Amino acid sequence: MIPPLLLATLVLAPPVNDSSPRAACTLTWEAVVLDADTDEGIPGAQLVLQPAGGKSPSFVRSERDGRVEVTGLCPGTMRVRVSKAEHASLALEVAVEVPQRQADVEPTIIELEGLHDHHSAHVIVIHDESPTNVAASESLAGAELARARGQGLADTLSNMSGVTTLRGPAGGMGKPIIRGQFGRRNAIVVDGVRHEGQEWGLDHAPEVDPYAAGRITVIKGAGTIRFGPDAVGGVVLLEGLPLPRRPGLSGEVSSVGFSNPLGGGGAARIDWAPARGRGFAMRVEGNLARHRAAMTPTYALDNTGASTWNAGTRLGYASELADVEVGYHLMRSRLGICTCLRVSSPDEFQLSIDRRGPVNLDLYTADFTLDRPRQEIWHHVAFAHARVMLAQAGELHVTYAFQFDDRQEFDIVRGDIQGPQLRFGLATHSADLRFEHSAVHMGTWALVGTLGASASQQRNEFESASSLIPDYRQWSWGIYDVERFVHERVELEIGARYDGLHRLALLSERDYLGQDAGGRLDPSRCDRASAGDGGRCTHQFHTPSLSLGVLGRPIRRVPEFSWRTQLDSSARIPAIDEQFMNGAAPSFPILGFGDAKIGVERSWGGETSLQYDGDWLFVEAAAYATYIDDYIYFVPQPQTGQCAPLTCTTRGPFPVFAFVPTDALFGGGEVRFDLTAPRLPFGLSGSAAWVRALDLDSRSYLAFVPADRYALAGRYFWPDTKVSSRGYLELNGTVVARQTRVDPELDFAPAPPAYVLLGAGAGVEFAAAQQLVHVSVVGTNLLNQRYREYNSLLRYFADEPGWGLQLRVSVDFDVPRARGAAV
Amino acid sequence: MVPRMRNQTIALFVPCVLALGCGPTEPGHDDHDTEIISRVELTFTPIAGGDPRVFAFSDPDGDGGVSGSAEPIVLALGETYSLRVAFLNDLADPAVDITEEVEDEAEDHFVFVLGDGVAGPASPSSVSTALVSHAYADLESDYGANAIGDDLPLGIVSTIEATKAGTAGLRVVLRHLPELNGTPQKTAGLPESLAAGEALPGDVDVDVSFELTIQ
Repeated sequence: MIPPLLLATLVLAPPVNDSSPRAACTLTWEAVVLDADTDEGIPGAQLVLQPAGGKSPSFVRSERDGRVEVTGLCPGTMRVRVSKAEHASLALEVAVEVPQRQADVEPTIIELEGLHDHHSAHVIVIHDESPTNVAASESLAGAELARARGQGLADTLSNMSGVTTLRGPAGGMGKPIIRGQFGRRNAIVVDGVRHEGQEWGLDHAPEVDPYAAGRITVIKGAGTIRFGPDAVGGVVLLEGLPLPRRPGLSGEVSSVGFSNPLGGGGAARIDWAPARGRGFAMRVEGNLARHRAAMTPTYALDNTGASTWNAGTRLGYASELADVEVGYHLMRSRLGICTCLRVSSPDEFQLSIDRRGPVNLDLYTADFTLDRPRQEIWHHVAFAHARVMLAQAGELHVTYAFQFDDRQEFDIVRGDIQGPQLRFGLATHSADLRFEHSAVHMGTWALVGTLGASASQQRNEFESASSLIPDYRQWSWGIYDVERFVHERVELEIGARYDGLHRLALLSERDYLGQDAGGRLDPSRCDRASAGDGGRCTHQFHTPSLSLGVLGRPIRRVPEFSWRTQLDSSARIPAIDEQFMNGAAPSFPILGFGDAKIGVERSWGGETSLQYDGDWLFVEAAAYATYIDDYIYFVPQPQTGQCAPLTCTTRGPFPVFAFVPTDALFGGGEVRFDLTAPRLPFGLSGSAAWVRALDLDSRSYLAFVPADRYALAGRYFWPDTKVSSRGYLELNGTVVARQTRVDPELDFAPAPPAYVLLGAGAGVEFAAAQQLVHVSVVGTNLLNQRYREYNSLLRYFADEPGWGLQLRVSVDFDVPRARGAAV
Repeated sequence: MVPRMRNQTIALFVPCVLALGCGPTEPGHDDHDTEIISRVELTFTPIAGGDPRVFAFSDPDGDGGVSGSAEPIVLALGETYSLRVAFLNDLADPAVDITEEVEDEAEDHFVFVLGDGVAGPASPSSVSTALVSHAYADLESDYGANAIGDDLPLGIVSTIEATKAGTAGLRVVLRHLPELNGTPQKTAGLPESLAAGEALPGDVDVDVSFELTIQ
């Protein structure tokens, strides 16, 4: 996005004593970088200065108050590019001249548009948009996010340290794993609304459109206090770009093409704010993508094509005292599941694993056609959000959202059957109220904080010939308070939350009798109106969570260096499947059973991280440990009967897995760095992540914990030309070790060997007066390595995709209606 | 249940209707009911005449927590039987016979009879414990026109000859072998591949084991 100030030509006032226009390079330029929204100075904004005459660029950062002073400049035109995380970048040209009069000496005002919600200045003490200051988090925005466009959510995040993907057996399907936790232990929050889908299934990717986000942040570690009990493992926050606050027409048109899987797509976003009716703005956005089945280095992954589209709109009115926004987003997704996936019986599964390759490979093709098995999803989200200033007291945010997740799963069936074999309809109403109180100043300390309450009502309907999860209704609520004590170099954060949930599960007769016979229900909580009519089981949960965090800048002379620590105790309420699952799990040849008597899972965690965020070097190291009491874990259960220790079914003897509480310990760490050589056009970045997880009861390793992972990328930045800027060439490598910490009883195949993937990329931007064109190309698995990934469901059946290229072209445009004299 | 919910949704949520509806509605169309096989019946009719003997594997709660069970098969030594296999869904009320659908798609299905008590095309020739011999007694063309490939057996009807007294195992497998990208997956030689322990294409719809006694 380019603010209206793009390429504004400035006449500037360097205070110099030398009156000669041909003076030596002794001129000085001063500027102030401000947040366009709050008019606060932005510290740490990076300015790339490209002096006239083709000299190599120099870099400076804004001071704490947003001021910048550059000395030793030569007369002439200087191109300046200002960038700061969470803000739209700005390019401008500055005429460095000798001032005519001393009175002309005024600093250049550079206003950056924030890519965050509008906030009152009363509630902001230190300008930092990270959603939590005391926990480790990592964000993707701007050009970095643009390079990941067209991918699913999990793939978009997979370059973050400590984040990996639990990959499903279908095209583009996957869910993020944050520090070893996935699915129901992670919350996904889209524009302040918690995403509600069928998160419990291993092969149910979150129905979220990463295109609609202007920034994606991952909070690594518990975010329970603000985001609710499902956030014990981590949080993924997707935030749309804010609606424009100045009259004009702006937007982005982009397209992406992939070579493997072959396909492509396009996206468009148009923002419009009328000159009349100031404060009103609207957005229309949509995207469309289709690809055929992916190719491994040696064969096609038959039937892994996908077709997805999204459409959304939002309308807003903004004023100093109140903002109102309403919006609606619809996602449609059709995902083919690999023909190679054979879970019909344990014997079959084992034969596939032993073969190390699918049967009838020569019949596999890379088509666009989506045959059975496949998943088809509609996901609707409608929301309304309001922010109201309450004079000096603070501001109030109110959000209401309705989501409807309609999922259909189609199995391979006999020809006389047309419809889906599984159908889920999940409707969720949610309301959130948040009061951000004004800063209270107490000497050199300031207190800021948020009081919040949330409530939701959810209704799930499941339709299938066999039982799996029952229909249910549930009501949940939570209240919380987070207070931050802010000092110049220290911040303390204390948070507390209390949650409640009321769940009514409606079991069919056969489901009820089967679960009751297995002793998995609590009869005192089940109401059986009449025999033959099933059972209605009611469960209530109430639980508190607490957290305590510190952010410090221990060295006065090095404010770039910070230390964060967080201690928390979070509670997670069992999900519907953990209580009532009863049937064949869709991804594995096992029968899975819940236990209605299972209780709240409580984690006790601590994490600490050190960060240096300097002009040319960023380094962060984080470590964490979490003890989880009554960790709800899916483990095999020996059975009695003719097929003991398995259970007899018409499809052969199946192993039975059940959710049981155990005690677990998670620990690990991440390191990442980003180095931009001060005077050389080179950059180097890297990351490493380790996770360890133990079942303390059985003294064995937990399943599906990501293997150790290392990544390194080297970049060459080529010089800007008259038409192009920010060009780079990148070469990167990823090393994933073999997961050696596995419990063979909990898995069906040994962990795959370690692998190394080589990638490369290049990109450049072309700027014009009102457009900015980004072009990038990314190559993945360029050595065409055959490999299998421990966290991919595909690993039991087939290899991962081979080499591929992705080409992205996007055009940001901005047509301001009234050119402000802001600069 | 879902269609009813959708109506409620529409009332609450006009945009979803305006946009495209919330998905196709198929009121009253339960098109997935017949997919479950919860009971497999083996009917042994002596060729020389006599009452048929029926033995069943039944899993009365489907994929629920209660294990299915198989009735022990008892046959008379020296007798030759016509074996007919039936696949039923008795979780539905009334029970649905899925055998007809298998017969209608004879070219996409194959029934194998194997186990350490069986000598036949799907058993390794090295089986020394065989108590019965198995031979296919039907062809795809018995159930309709043979449109694709060879006229292969289906295996719904076969011949079992009790050759030796004793107790061993008998296993019945139904494989669903739909065409893959236009090419038939049901081919001659699949029983032999199974006997050799190779992975077969398609999916397993039924895999049940019985205790077989010949006396």
